[in-house]
Amino acid sequence: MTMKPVAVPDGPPPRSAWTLGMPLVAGAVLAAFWLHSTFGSDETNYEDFALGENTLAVYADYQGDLIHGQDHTNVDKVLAGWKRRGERPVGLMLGNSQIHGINQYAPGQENVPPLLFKRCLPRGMDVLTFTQPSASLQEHYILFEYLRQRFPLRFLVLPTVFINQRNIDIRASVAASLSDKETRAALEESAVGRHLVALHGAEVESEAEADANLAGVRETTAERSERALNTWLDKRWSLWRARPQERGYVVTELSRVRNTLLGISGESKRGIVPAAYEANLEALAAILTSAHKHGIAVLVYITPIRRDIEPPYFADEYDKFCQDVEHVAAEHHAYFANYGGLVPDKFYGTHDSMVFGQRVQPDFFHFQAEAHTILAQAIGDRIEQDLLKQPQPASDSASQHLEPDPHSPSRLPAGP
Amino acid sequence: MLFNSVTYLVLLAITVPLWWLLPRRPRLWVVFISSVLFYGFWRFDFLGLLALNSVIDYVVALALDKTENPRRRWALLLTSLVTNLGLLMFFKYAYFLTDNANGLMALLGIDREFEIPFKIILPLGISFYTFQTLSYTIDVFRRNIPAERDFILYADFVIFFPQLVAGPILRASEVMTQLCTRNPFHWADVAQGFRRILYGLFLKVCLADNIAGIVDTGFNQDVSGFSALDVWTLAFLFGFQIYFDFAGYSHIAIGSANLMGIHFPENFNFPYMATSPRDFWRRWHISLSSWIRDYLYLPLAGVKAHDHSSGGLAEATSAEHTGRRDRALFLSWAIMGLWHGANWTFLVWGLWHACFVFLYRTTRGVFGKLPAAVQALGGWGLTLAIAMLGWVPFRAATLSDTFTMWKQAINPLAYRSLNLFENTYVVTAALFVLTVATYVVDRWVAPKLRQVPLVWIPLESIAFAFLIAAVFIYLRPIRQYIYFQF
Repeated sequence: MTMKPVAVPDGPPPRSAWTLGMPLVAGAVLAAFWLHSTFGSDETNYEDFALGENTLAVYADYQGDLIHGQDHTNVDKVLAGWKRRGERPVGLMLGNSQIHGINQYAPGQENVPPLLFKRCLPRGMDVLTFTQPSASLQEHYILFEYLRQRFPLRFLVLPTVFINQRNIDIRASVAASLSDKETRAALEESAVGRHLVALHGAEVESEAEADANLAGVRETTAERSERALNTWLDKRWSLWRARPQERGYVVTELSRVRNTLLGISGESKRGIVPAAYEANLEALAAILTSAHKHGIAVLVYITPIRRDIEPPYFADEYDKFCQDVEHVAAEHHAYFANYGGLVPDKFYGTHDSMVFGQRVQPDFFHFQAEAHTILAQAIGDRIEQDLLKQPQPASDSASQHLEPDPHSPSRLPAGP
Repeated sequence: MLFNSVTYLVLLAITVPLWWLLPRRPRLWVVFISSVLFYGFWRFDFLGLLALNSVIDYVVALALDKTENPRRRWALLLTSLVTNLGLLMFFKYAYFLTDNANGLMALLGIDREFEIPFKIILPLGISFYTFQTLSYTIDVFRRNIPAERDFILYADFVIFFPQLVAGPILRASEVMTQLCTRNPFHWADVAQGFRRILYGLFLKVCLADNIAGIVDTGFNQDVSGFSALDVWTLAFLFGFQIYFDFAGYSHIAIGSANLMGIHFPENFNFPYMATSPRDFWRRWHISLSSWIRDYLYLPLAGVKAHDHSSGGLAEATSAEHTGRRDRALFLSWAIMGLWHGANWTFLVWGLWHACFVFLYRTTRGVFGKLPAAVQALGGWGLTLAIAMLGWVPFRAATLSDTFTMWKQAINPLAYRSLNLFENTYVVTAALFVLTVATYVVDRWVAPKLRQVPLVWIPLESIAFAFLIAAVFIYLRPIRQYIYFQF
């Protein structure tokens, strides 16, 4: 080697090893101490953090088989139970945290899914429910098409939450459904579905169970080594295993800082996000079009909300949303109900405050078990009154249409 | 293998001690094997292409060294250029060229369509290692360096894992000597290496990867519905994402090399604090712009090139206007744009910057008479705006989206609404403050406080506690580096 070296711009650091290394070592010790003291025994599920300490996420089973799941992650469990019960016709309910959350939960209490399940059981039907916190209609659309390929759906109950229509992201556990070819093909029948497949389909096309945390190394040797190393670390190191909770904690605390600095509270008004709103209403129309084409009766309802506190949105936008949903439902032959005022305010609870210096704040959305009974009663009535009365298609043919009478009194918004 | 993975940390934990413990020959083999594993963990089958590329330049360089015949030397250089650039063109631009040829024929009414009958996968890091091997051959051709006879040493230079897939693009004279003769061991190097790796991981896994989702959500929307403020916000946010992502990569690359006592030149230097286009091109992706300077711009402008990967393209911004230099300017930036990707949007990015460099050359005489503070502050604001708006074509899906967004940004009537998530604005503003604050601390606060170790060390310890905890919590290969696709 005869090469003449050129001056390297970054030579050995001008500072001593001690001044460079000491803060690193001290920082590592401090970090380890903080992580251990904060997360040593923390098992909080931060995805449901918005529910607060007083509200519990409850996913019901029937005779040991899950009848209420979340998304792609536990569809198989719900499917297995349904097969064991004899593969009966299915009524599907999609939803969000209002459905799986019970405020002031006491053992033995039930939320809407098991109540509806039991009500429809004597009629030879299984009502199965899938809910995710803050689910948008685009996520419902993906999940609906995925579940439609797996269950003989007779009807669909679809809650619509105004505030969730600001959401446009698709969580990985829902996007995982796009690994199914039939689901992708079904979604590609609509413009919004094509958009969803284009944006999220490629990521999961060939790896249904792909871990979103390893997305950057998917289908490489690195993925296998990373998975093995993470499994090894998970088994031996509780702090490593708790990293999802730790990430949830960081996001929650950053939100608290933001809210405190900017004066944001649970009652601060949030306007619609036009693009997200449009995309979600398009997704609603696409769900109803697909359901209609496949002879699935649909009840679309506006979810109950608390009325004695200021809601975190603008009244005129909320009213327009109710009208838009009703209009889309009518246009696509679906039943509609407005349950906005169905649940008495006394049944709503509180949730942990997202502002420093305040412990709890009123929850405008999640309610107690009594309210679940009220909501289940209202939905159950509509199932019996409208959805189960629809003639069943002879086959899965697109020629079978359900035509609810647009002038039927049952289309009128239901009062509390 | 991604830097932001446990696998990489394991590779580093094995390679670094062996580097310091073993004698020269086995040490070079350790680097070679580690680098092969580093690349192969993505795709082992593409190592063949990397080997082909390397062997051709190795052989060509040896032949160049042996001959004084100018015609033969040019023929050898052309062999290297054609092979290297041919492979790059095939793997990176085949679809782009086919699509455009088809579009052109359709426009001319010719009923014929070209189709590539097989799937072409873009090999990881091909743009980087092609430029690196090319620079080696050209440097040998220019007699800046002699050809290296030891193939393993030469191969280590080409595939040295810290810089293999996304740079910094280094010169043989900068790395080979350090690989050949191990630098003396300094604990300061090791500590500095860990610090740089930590900075890099923080920028990548805590900042860039978490911004990515917000950027994607923004750009996935129908851009025609954006207000001017939305466009500016998304441009800034993507500007931060790509900076944190790539600067993070460079920090880890430099830090990993530091652990072995090897020193790389810097690749970024607070580019968003640049006070002029000249300053910006001294601070952004310095190794690439230095490469473009020495192997493209200066030869095209008829000026003698340098042989180091620092300094960037600042020289091009201060040259006087001549037809030749202006042509060199636009051509160099256009090629630099297309180097990033096979899409017209990248060409537009290059030309956007070329236009502003040209404007800077033209107007600096006028602005140079303004008070220094006005020049610095105004220059910073303008340069930042130019750089950030320049990211729009880099991220937008199509040229049409790019021009729609640019049109909105300069439309004074489009400043009246906000259509993105509130968090998009909040995060962008927070990152802007963070970037400026970091610069202020690095430039003015830290040098003063370092004089008082009793104050500085506890403060730095707290900062590192925060960085270590954050990296621990977020370390996962959730996304590739943006520059892997280039």
